[in-house]
Amino acid sequence: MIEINEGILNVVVNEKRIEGSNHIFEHLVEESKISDKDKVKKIIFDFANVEYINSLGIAEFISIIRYYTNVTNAVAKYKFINVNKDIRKLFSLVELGHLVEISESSG
Amino acid sequence: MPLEKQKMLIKESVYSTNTDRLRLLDIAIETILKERLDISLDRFELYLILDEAITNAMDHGNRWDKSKKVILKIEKVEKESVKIYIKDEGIGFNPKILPDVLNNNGKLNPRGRGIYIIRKFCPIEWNVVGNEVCITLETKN
Repeated sequence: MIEINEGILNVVVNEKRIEGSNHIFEHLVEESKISDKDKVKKIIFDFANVEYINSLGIAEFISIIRYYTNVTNAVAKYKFINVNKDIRKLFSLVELGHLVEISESSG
Repeated sequence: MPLEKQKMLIKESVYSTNTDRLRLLDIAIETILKERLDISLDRFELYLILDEAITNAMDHGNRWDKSKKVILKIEKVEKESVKIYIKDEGIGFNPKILPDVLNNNGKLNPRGRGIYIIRKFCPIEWNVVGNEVCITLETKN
């Protein structure tokens, strides 16, 4: 589910497991074509439903960040909300915090 | 080392499909947890490193070729370690040329994090060809 509100793209990740075959990137790019990509200032991914992610899943998100960094001239910011403890541990391990703001809550 | 200290816990091979990947992962984690080993990893960490090694074999090694197998072997050396061997049918690679995923150039590189993650938790070694990894988990029992 994707909503765009005042330049903020809210994406609810519905998959329980993200392991490289979820096509989140393709869906997002396809859906967001309806909006003007230049106006995307921030993308918020809601991880409330996500129980597990591996390195191929992380690669999906890196691809998304790469894509939007190119099409929006690096002005977009990224945030993951409602991230569980295990996944936060993994994100910290691969230093994803350099690219994305990561929050355990919905704020 | 006396031979009786060493015990093969499982040998299993599957084809390179996502269904078989998940099946092999379940077999591997159940085999290790059943031994009630005193290791430093929690269930999530153990599952993750097994997943990274198996996925790497199917993805980089066998290129998800459904006719190519991944072979899992788990050996226990009493009061010392558990060794997890994962072999693919790929051409192998040179582990010395792994990309540095966390340098400034690597941060936006989508690939190459699997081995990095495993190394954060335990030692990983390759055979000469580079198509078999051995992950060693230290155990006190």
